[in-house]
Amino acid sequence: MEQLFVHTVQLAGWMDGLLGYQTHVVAGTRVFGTSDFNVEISDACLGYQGASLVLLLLGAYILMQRRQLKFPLALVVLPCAAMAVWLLNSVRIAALIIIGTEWSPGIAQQGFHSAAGWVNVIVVSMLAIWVLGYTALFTRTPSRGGLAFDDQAITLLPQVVLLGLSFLTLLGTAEFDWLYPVRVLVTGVVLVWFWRRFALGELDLRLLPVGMGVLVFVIWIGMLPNDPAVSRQFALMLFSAPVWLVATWMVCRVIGAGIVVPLVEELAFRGFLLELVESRAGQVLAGQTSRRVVSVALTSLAFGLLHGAWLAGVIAGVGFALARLWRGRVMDAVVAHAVTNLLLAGYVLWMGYWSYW
Amino acid sequence: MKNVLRVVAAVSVLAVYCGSAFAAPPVPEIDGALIVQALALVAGLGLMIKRRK
Repeated sequence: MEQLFVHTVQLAGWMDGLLGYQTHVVAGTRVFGTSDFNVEISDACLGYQGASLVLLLLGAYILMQRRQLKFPLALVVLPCAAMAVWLLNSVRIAALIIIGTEWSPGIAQQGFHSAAGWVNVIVVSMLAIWVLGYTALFTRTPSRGGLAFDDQAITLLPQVVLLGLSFLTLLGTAEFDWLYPVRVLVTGVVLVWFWRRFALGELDLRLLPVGMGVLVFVIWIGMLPNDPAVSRQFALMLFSAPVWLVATWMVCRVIGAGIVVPLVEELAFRGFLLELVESRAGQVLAGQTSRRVVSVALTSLAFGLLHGAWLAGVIAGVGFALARLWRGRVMDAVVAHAVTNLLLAGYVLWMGYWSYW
Repeated sequence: MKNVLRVVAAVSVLAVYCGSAFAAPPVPEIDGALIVQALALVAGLGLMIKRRK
């Protein structure tokens, strides 16, 4: 592990040196950085977990695709991917030092430190799978026409964009999520751009979805009490900014919670995934009711896991799924979700319970 | 091919989730559901993109 540390900081230091930053390792320690900003690099920050994960993913992919792949050439991708993760990890450390020195120690130590490793793993995994599965060098059935969106799975696009943006904006985040408006704006543009392909239908307000939204809101605040310490800290950071920035952030936060996020999440979970799981469950389960139960349970579990408060998220997912199944319209689930989020936004703004955000 | 991608997406989910057990200690203030978000992103891409025929 010591050798890995030495090579990692040598490479990171060399890259920083190219950009004019003098770095050093404090003798007898693992503290690395410039004279203005330094960090202690633990074993966990050396990139070997990321490389292990990528090897695991690619190993599984190669195993499943063994009939299509050319051997032993395909195996060459494994060490290349592991090396790419290690190189990108050195880039991450070099960038972290520059960000901490030039811009913000908070962003370097928090958002960037946290998100950059995951970005590395995601990028290397997807690139390696693309190289293995789609190029003539490694596969016997290369793609001749390039890539395209699946007609049904296109409804996942806003969710994928939002998730990707979450990682990218986290790279530039310290204590407070000031870049939230960027996520709302870009995801909103994607929603508008692809709107016709989502085929959501018209907004037709009925009592049941609205009532379901109210019920989920009551359950949510019942299960998750306000955290006064978190709310205090949140308010302190939010209101330390200029008035125009606070106002812009709040407007975007309400639009995001009340319109963008319900559309994004319902298209993905109650739109695409619910139907996918139900059709797959149909291969092993005969009754429609049992298929419905399985599909609602699994998609609600996935929905809950994507949220910090997983149990409340699962219950909310079940509520929105019931709204969707009532008339078979995803828009009803969107309405229920929007009602919940708008009530929660009003509750936050009225009571000052910022910990819900 | 699409089915394979879906299996890859599912395996990715499991692998990243298991991998989190030995990953770096998260930053408690902001990490939240980051691990699940990472796997959801990989799974979403796997489900969404297909090869043009």
